[in-house]
Amino acid sequence: MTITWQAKYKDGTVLRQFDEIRKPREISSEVIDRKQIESFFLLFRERIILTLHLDEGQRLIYRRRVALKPSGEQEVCHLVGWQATIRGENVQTIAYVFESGRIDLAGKFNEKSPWFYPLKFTDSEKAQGLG
Amino acid sequence: MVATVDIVRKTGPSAAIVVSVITAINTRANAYDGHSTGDTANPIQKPASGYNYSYWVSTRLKAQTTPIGTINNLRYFTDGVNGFGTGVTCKAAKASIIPDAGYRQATGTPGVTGTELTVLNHPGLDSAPVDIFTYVAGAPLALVGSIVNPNVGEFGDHVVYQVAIDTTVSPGPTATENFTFRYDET
Repeated sequence: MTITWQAKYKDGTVLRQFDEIRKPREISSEVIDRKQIESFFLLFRERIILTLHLDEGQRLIYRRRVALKPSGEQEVCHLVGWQATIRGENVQTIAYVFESGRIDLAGKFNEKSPWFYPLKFTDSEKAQGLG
Repeated sequence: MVATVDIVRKTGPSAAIVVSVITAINTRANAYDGHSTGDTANPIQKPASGYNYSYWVSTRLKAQTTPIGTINNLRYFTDGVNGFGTGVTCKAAKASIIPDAGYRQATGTPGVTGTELTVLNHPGLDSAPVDIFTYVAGAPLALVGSIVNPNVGEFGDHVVYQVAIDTTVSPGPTATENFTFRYDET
């Protein structure tokens, strides 16, 4: 099962992870403009399986989290959610979409959880207010 | 597509390190410095007393294709249960101290025992090795390192482990254990 993403901006334009007529064909979620995004989608076989609607002040979070076993088997989970600063504190909601078909919802990251542990934001994400 | 990442085992001297992909196969922790899936020529010899050791096993992640963005947040863990059998234990530590980003060639007496994995014997280790089965998904060994487009190659700390056997061990190969790496990709 391969899940991909799309981002829809406030002006109606759509940014796709994969675009056959674009160079580069594939892009990282790091390039998504967090200030302009209106909604974010996960797709499986071109069909939307999850939509995240973002309100003003909510900053998109996305990751592809991979467990690589020596057997070669990969367990993949897509983290999709938002973070906002409310009264000086970062709050968030994340959907954990496993490629096996399971979906979990969780709030605060949990360092002791097998899957819901914190991200390490990249510099470009930090520059967009994530942290 | 997203990056193709493999688990590799490293053997040999620093000047000529042999990097073997061990994804989708097994690697044996035997008493010699080399990767094999089924070597029987250099087993760890059952000790008359105390312990004998495998040569230590140095593993790491390697991006065969570049990530489209960033790979970071590396972790390593087991299922928490020692399935090797009676008389067999395994310790592990991460290694990042230069040279060679923490890699040190395993040494010992082939077919008998490896040199014990300690900070003294392996100065690339970040800390003293502990029971590998204490690292579980909810309490993993956190590894430092990342790789960013357009780079390819090895990245992150090494994970070095070693099997020890005592006088209660039974002859023959042990059951296989699975040690998992986990990472995030943007």
